[in-house]
Amino acid sequence: MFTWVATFRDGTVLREDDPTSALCSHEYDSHDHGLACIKDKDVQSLGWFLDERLFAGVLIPAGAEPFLIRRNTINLRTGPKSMLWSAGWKRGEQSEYVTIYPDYSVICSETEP
Amino acid sequence: MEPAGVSAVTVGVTYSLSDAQNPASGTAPVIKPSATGTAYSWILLVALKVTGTAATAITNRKIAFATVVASGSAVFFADQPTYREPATGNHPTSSGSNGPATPTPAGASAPGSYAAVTTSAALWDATSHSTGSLGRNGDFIELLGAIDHTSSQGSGQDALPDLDLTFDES
Repeated sequence: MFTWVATFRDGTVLREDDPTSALCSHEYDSHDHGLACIKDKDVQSLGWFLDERLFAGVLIPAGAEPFLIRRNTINLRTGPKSMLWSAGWKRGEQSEYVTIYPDYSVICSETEP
Repeated sequence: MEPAGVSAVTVGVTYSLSDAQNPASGTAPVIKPSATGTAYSWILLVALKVTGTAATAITNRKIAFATVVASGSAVFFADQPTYREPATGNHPTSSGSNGPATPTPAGASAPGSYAAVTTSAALWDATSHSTGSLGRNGDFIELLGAIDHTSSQGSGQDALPDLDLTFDES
C-alpha cells in the first residue's frame, strides 16, 4: 500500500504512517483523521511512498488549498468495493490533482475530481 | 417519521409492492404488463449512514449499476431529502409504454423527476456533510424497480445488477 507524504514549507516532512510526528500527534493518528490535517495551507507538496521510494506528487501553489479525497464505492450486494485516492490543490476555479488507483497507476488531471 | 436505518449492504433490496426491504419471492410482486406498458414497484429509500465517526466530510454521492441491466428491466432514482414511507399513495401509476418508461413521481414530497440508473455513476446528492455524527449522511436515494412488456423475465424474481454507491470523503 502506498503511504501519503506531505512536505511543508518549513521543511517538515509528514508521513501518514508516522503517528509520533509532532504534526501528527493530535489529529494525524489514522488514515481517516489525517485527512483534515492535510488541509494546512503551508503544505508545499503532496506525494507518496511506495516500497520506500518517494514519488513526486503535486506541488501546491502558495495559498492554495491542498486536499486528499478518498473515493469509496459500496456495492449493495457485496459490500465495500474499491477505494481510490486523489490528492491535489484548488484555488478558485483552478485545480490540479492526481488519482492513485489500487494497482498504483496514477492519473493526472486539471479539473476538479 | 423516519425510522431507524436497516443496513442494505450485502443484503441488498428487493423491489415489490410493499414496504419490506426483501420480501420473499411471490410476495407483493411487481406484475409484468401483459400488453405494452411498464409497471413500477413501490419506492425504496436508501442512504449512506455513518457508523463510526471521523474528522472528515462526505460529498459527491453517486449511484450506478455494476453491470448493464437486461432489456425490459430498469431501476429509476431521484434525490430525496425528505423521508416518505413507501406506500400505494406514492406509487407511480403504470405507463402505457415500454422502455421501461420513466415513471411520473406521485404523492406528497415527491421528487421532481426520476432518472434511470446506468453503469455511469450519476450524482444524487453533492452536499458536504460531516462524518462527525452517527446516522444518515446526506439525502436519500429514492429507488423504483420497473419492468415492461418486452422483458424476457419469467415467473420468479428478476436478478438485477448490483447497485454501486460512490462518495468522496475528505
